[in-house]
Amino acid sequence: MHIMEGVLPWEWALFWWALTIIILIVGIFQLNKVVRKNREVLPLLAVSGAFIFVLSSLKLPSVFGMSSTHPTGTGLSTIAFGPAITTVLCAIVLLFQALLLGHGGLTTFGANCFAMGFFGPLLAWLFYRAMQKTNINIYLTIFLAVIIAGLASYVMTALQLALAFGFETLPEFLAIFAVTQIPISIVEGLIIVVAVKFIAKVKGEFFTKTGTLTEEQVAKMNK
Amino acid sequence: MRTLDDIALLSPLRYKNTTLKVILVFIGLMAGLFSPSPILPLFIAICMVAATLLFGKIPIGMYFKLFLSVLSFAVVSAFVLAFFVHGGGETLWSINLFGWVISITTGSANLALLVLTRSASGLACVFFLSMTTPMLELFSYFKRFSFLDVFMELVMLIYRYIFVFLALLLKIQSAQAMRFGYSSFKRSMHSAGLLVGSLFVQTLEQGDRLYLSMNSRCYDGKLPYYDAKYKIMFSDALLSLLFIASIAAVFYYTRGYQFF
Repeated sequence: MHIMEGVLPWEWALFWWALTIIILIVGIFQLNKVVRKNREVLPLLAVSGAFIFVLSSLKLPSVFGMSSTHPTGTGLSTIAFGPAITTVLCAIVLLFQALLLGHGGLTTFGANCFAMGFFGPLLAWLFYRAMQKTNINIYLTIFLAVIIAGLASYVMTALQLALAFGFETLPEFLAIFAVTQIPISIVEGLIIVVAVKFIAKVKGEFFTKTGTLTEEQVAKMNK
Repeated sequence: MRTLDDIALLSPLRYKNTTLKVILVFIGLMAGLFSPSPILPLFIAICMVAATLLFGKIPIGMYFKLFLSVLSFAVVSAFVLAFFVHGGGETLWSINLFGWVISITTGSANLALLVLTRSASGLACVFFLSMTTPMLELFSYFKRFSFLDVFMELVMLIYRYIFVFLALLLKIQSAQAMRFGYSSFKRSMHSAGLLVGSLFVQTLEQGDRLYLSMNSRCYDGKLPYYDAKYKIMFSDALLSLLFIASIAAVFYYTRGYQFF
């Protein structure tokens, strides 16, 4: 659920753009540094970005008879690559969604990028890193991390809309998002759990290399 | 989505100067955003749609199908704003739902109309750009700024791989559907999970293959792209100036006008 082109008044559009540009400059600096040091990362990042886009265009099975829903796609990328890279990739994906599909927009790009590319993934990553080392079931941790990535993005989006149109509208925006987005996030969480299980089986070394899962956790998953 | 890029490649406006198009779209977006009255965004939307359809030779049916399907979201948000924002002014209409009063005031109606027209004008501007400029030309334009070099290479590679993975996704999905993979809710959750997982594994392998193929073509951390340069014709410049001048005129004369 992106904020459409032209919905935000110019003051807020400018504010979120400024904030996002600062985050993106830091992200691009990091990207430049990483690619210069280790140039085989670029192709991997490129295909991961395409993966996020394709995932966000995936039509999920509906829960309450709604026609179809689509996931944010950032959950898996966050737990695999971390929030900094996810932000840059997500910015590119949002740019394509705005240009090719008309989802989101150029003037509201700053707000969307902050909510979906930065805020959601950051919270999910912090949660995942904190929980991963504990003894709590790893599937539950992944499931909750994906839900947090989705819901935090939507709460932020509702907050952005409420800030722009008067704070008393916050409950209304939150209610609209809650009704539509909570089922989507739960479905996305379940699917990512199955996906992580599958990836651990086929390419478990990728997760241990990036530090997403420890070797015992991968071994336990494959048992 | 595939067709949108094909359309841009076939459009006659493709051979116009990219800088000029970017500037026009930027001015259109900004003017629509800063306008306090819904007249100017409406004017920009009409100009941009007309330019895309007449000069860009975009199929009308396809254009409006895409345009209206996206605009329907804006209509929904305009309704939300009209009902929930307490814009002040006189009450135009109100209803009492089980003790909960919902009302539309002149302030909220004006706000909703402004947001709707602003969305339409922004959308028309973005579609003008993406339907007349092939993405790769647009990106090689931004590659001139050296700070964005690596970022833009990433953008171009992602653009390429979106189509590769979309095709793969559709193939896997229809193979699963043929084997009753989506016959019940529980089974479709499982299938969708396997789909995402195998897509991710394919992504990693494709990344390795891409690196190998780039290396064997002398990749040294820089991807050279052909940067097409088109001259600005006198008639284009004149038309653009006319457009900008009329935006300024409409802005000046209608800035205080509201419908309600």
